[in-house]
Amino acid sequence: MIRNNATYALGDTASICPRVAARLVRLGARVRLNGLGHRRLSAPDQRDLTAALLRDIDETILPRYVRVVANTGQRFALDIAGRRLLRLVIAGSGGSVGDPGDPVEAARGLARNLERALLRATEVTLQSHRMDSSQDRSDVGSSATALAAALGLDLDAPAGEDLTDKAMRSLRRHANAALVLDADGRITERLGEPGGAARLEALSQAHLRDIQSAMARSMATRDTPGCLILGIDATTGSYLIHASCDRARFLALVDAHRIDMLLPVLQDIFAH
Amino acid sequence: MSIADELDMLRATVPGCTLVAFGDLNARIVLCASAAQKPPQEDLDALCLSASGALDGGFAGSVAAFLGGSRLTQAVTLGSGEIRLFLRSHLDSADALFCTFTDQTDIRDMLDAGRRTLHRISEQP
Repeated sequence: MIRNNATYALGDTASICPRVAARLVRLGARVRLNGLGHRRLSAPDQRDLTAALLRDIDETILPRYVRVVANTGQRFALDIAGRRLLRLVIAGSGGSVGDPGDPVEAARGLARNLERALLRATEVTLQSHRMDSSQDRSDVGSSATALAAALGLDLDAPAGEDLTDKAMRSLRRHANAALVLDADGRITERLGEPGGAARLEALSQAHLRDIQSAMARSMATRDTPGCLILGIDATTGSYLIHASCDRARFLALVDAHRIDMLLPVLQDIFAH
Repeated sequence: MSIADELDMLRATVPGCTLVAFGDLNARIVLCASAAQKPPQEDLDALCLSASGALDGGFAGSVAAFLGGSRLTQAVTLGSGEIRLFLRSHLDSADALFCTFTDQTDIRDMLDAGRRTLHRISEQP
């Protein structure tokens, strides 16, 4: 057994790229084993557990066959290699590999089955075996990040983020342009394409109040964080997003072809 | 298939869907609804008014042009515990579908299924 007892001073983690810092923290976390030496992952709810399992997949390079038992009693098996989930087989039902010809649909299909396998689970035990494979599997299954995107999960999210941080990070990643506004509607930051931000600014000056009140009237609960998404068509044009968080408001412009990636993220932030 | 059947089928197809209603945005009335527990008419009317405000409010024309179109055809509101979707038909601009669902529903599935249902309803003579 090789034991690495070395410790590394991280210094001020805030000055390191947040993604790297989050990974260092995770790598430094102690691996939990059950009495049989199998690894255990646990989380407060199903979504956090799913994110933990996807992080595990994201950190698996060599081919592995993993038997999983959830604390709900559900059993399933995963073939993992090259940071991809190649196959998911739920006990009592068939395997799921997705269609390699349509990566987005493949990820959604696999993600749905993973959700089904982890339904209401908060802990899983992982029994991992090496899998002999010299084949290139880079076109099979889905990467952990694609699965996370399909489920609206962010594997790099730092712990303890509030709504505003989450919304800001997701809009930075997916929006073409966005404005960050204070409670009085004053612009505090412009994100993304300068041209798009300038157009948003003009729209904001003319219609922000109307958009805010339309959102307030449309929501089931008033005076709580929320989000309004307006569109003209499913596949063409763009979407306008207005979001109201604890510390800020956002007005964002998102291309139609990017909205499918952003919708589950916004759902996770505002509807949970 | 009748409109009521279409709405029932949509609600049964999408997990977490709590209410589906079909209405007229010009008249601002709900014509037909499907729900496990049918809400009072005033709640349905309020839902229709919300849809009208989001899709046809004072800002709607400017926002539609800003987005590259002539009319807003979809609005989604996300708030704690409930998601609301308002869809306008491409065939008849007064026809609209209103859906409410929980955070267990994938919005993308609801959008796809809702659009197909509304299209079929608007196609009916």
